[in-house]
Amino acid sequence: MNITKMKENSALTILLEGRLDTATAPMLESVITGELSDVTDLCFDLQNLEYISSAGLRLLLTAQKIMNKQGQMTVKNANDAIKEIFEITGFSDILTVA
Amino acid sequence: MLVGLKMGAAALAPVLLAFLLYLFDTKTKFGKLKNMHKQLIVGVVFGALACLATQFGIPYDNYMMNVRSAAPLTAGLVFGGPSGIIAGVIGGLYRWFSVYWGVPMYTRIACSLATVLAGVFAAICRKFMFNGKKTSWFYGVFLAIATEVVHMLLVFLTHMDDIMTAFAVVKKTAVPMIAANAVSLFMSLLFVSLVSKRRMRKEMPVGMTETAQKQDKGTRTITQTFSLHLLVSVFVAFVATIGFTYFLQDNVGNLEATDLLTININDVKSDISGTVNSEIEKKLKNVANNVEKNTTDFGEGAWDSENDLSRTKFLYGNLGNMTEIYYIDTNGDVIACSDEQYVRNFNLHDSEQSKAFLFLLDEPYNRLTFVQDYMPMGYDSTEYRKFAAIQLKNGGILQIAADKSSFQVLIRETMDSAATNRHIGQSGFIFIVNPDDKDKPIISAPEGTVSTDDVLTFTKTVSELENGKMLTYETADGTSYYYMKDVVEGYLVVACIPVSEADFSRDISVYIGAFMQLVVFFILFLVVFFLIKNIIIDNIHKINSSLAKITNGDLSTRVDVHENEEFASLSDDINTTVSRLKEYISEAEKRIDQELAYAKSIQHSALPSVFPPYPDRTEFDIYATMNTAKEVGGDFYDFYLLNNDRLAFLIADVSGKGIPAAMFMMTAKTMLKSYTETGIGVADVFTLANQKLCESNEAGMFVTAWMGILDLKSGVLKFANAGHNPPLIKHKDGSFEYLKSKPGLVLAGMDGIKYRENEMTLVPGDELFLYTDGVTEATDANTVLFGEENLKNTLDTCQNRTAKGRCDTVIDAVNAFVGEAPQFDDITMLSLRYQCSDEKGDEKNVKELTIEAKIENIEAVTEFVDNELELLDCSPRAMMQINVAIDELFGNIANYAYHPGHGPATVRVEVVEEPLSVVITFIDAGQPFDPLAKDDPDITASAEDREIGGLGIFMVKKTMDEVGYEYKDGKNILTIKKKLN
Repeated sequence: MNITKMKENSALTILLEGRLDTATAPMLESVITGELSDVTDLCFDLQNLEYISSAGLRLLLTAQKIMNKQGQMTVKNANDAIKEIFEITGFSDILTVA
Repeated sequence: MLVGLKMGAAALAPVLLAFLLYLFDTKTKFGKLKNMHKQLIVGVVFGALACLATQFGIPYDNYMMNVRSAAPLTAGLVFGGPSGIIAGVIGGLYRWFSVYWGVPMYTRIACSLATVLAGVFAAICRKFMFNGKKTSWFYGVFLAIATEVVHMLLVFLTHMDDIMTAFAVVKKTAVPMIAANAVSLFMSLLFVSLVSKRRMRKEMPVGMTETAQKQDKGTRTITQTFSLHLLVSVFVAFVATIGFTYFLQDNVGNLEATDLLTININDVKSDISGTVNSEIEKKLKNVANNVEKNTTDFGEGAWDSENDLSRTKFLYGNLGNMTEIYYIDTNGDVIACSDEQYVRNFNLHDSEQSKAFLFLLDEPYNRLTFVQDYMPMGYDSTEYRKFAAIQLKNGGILQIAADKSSFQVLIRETMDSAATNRHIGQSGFIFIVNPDDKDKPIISAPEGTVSTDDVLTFTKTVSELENGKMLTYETADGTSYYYMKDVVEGYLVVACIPVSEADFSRDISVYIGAFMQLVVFFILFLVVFFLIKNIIIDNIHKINSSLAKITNGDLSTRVDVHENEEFASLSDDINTTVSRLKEYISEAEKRIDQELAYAKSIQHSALPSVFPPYPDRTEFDIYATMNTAKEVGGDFYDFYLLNNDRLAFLIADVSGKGIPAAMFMMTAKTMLKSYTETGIGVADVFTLANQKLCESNEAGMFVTAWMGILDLKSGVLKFANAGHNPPLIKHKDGSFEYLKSKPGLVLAGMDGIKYRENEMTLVPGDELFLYTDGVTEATDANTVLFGEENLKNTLDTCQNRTAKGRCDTVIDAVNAFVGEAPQFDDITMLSLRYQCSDEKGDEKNVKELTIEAKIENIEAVTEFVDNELELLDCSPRAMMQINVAIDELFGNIANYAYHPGHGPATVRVEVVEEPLSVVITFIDAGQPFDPLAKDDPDITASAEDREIGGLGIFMVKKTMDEVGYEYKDGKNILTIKKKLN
């Protein structure tokens, strides 16, 4: 999986490419736990994300919890399959899916 | 001569001025002025020139000539109507008032009016005939002549009561003034057009100049042709009518002059002879009375010859100023005479002259008299005598004779009175010459009109003239006269009339006739020109512009000129033709479409198109597709098995598109196949095919091709490239990359080429993707190319790993990229996947992988399962869901089953038919754990309250069709089943 970060002031866009699964989740975990301290506006761009497993969902939930305290978070460009996972797991109620 | 030079100089003035102003207009700021101001300035300048022409008239005989009309005409024709009118009005007003400072009064109205009219004519012609543009010298000359003719006619019109003087003025000045004005206009327009042509040539590119010149020379406009013909025929008619009028009027004039002269001569003649005759009759009666009284000598019985002497004496005594007296008896014999030699010696029958008197003897007595004219005598023809006779009471006649001298005084007096105050016409005269006294003629003309010397010279020439004939004679001062002579009582009577007076009516008829005809023809010319332009030329232009649109492909244009019948029918015909043409074109298009559709189906049927082509072969998966830009195209692909263990496959692209490319493609395809089937190497196939194709390639086409032969057992791939795009290759665990090899020249490009063979070995799972440039060069609406990078990315991210899946994905990607833009090139691709024949061995549908349960190995497991799924027609969505399930389940095993140590896990994949499903079993020997026993997580809780545990197995349960668990033989066995369709 590739993670690309674009930061403008306090806005951070994280571009995820490939598969966010058990094997790759730790890469994103280090970003979420270490780099969100001064972010008020977080955006996950999932345009090129092929799929997401529960490990990935766990990280999105973690990120959402952090951002609930210090700003806002959006998830955009998710493909249909991922949107379906969000739907099945009830994540579409928690996340702001654009 | 001098006058001619002066007129020439005056004619040059407008030319120079026009030339200068034109240069100003094109070269200086003057040209940038508003047109209104420009017209005003030009009008005033030329008006001033007209005034100068008036002021410095050129004297000719008693008249003044000038070149005034040329100024407004030039202004109007070269620079524009308004300036012409302004110049005309200024010139006309000046001429009107110039009589107060010495310019002649006589032609004031005519000259002023003609100058204004010149400006108006120029303006009208420019606007209606020349479309507001400059015109050629030809029309300028024509207009100048017409204007001056109107000028001359105005001179007549304003002096109808004094036509003679008016005529004299016109006769002298018409020709030089018309000529000078015409020359002036000719030069002005010629110079200006030469200058403007040179300028245009300078500004035009070289090529344009030549075409423009060609057009100038080659064709003539309808108006030009018409005006030329009209002018020639009008000129002929003009000359003919003027010639005829001249001839007629000349004859009439001659007759009138002859009559006039004859009448006058006869008047004088009868005056004289009347006087003489009455005198002689009086004498005759006296003598007759005396004779009748003398009964002694002339009574009854007195006729013996003894009395002859006494009778002679008696008669002689009565002679007076007469020459002779005769007494003639009823037989016509002379019985008595004043000259005794004739007594009884002559009879009236003896001479022709005397026979005229015989009738008096035959008539009954009534005292009849007969007076004969002067006549040459019977015996001497040089001697003239006049005889007269009278009937006598007692029978017989008395005759007396007289010579010139007898009545000299009388005649002289009579002649004086006849000649005095006699006028012939207005200034003709008469003169009488006494042959005995030739130096003193009687002249009826007032003194000073004609000199005595003239008359004397006249007299000399007159002698040869026959009586009653008319001749011309020019006196010393240059005046020509018609004259006629007669001889009365021995006197020469001559009547004269000046030729100019006699021919006046002829000349004025000819002049006015000519002028009027010129004006009529001028108007006729204008009307015809205008009508042709309006009715024909304008309509032709309309039709032409519509035709131009049609020629440019707009077949929906309609020609609509319905002003007259001929053009309406032409318009209708054109419209019908165009609509027929449209029908034919659409019919032809339909037919061609149909034929192309056949061609397409033939072409496509030549390519292998049933997939899978070899259902029983599991070593490879091949798929190909072709989508032609036109109905038929030049791309093709092909594949076939050689000896059951080698697969030949190729892709090719013929230069060009359409029918020719398709036919060349069929040739190339057949040829390649037949060479390949002989079993020779792929490079040799290309070398031979190239040679053969070069031999029969008149159309100069060529083919790019990439061909490979894959040994299905060993995986050895031998391939050659003839100028084709490099294919993409994907090795089992890598991503797609371009298989670059040094390509040879295109097939059919040049004979004698040898192609190079390349070799590589494929392992099961390797894929090849062949394509034509229609894929990478597909363009979107902004003409951006799809590109090689894009193609590689599309293949790399493609979820469906079957051969068909690869092709479909690329097609979808290209279509999405191109959008609405039209397809330019054929799009053809071939995808091949090499797979090991052992993988699908005897245990047909079950595959198994045993691997250490570690997070790192999730990917390998996924890959293993995906490889199987890709052989099936698995949707990307199902594949993704299965991948997620593997991640969750194998991840659980890796994390918890052998915790804290590690152990192996087995993954088995089984394909079940009806419905097509895949069953995946996960087996581990770790701690017993039933993931399904746990409750589902609360998925409605808020983010803060949400628990992350159990979510993975929950997702698996939701996305898989069946999930089962059992603990058997010390092993956790978890099974999931997913329907693939």
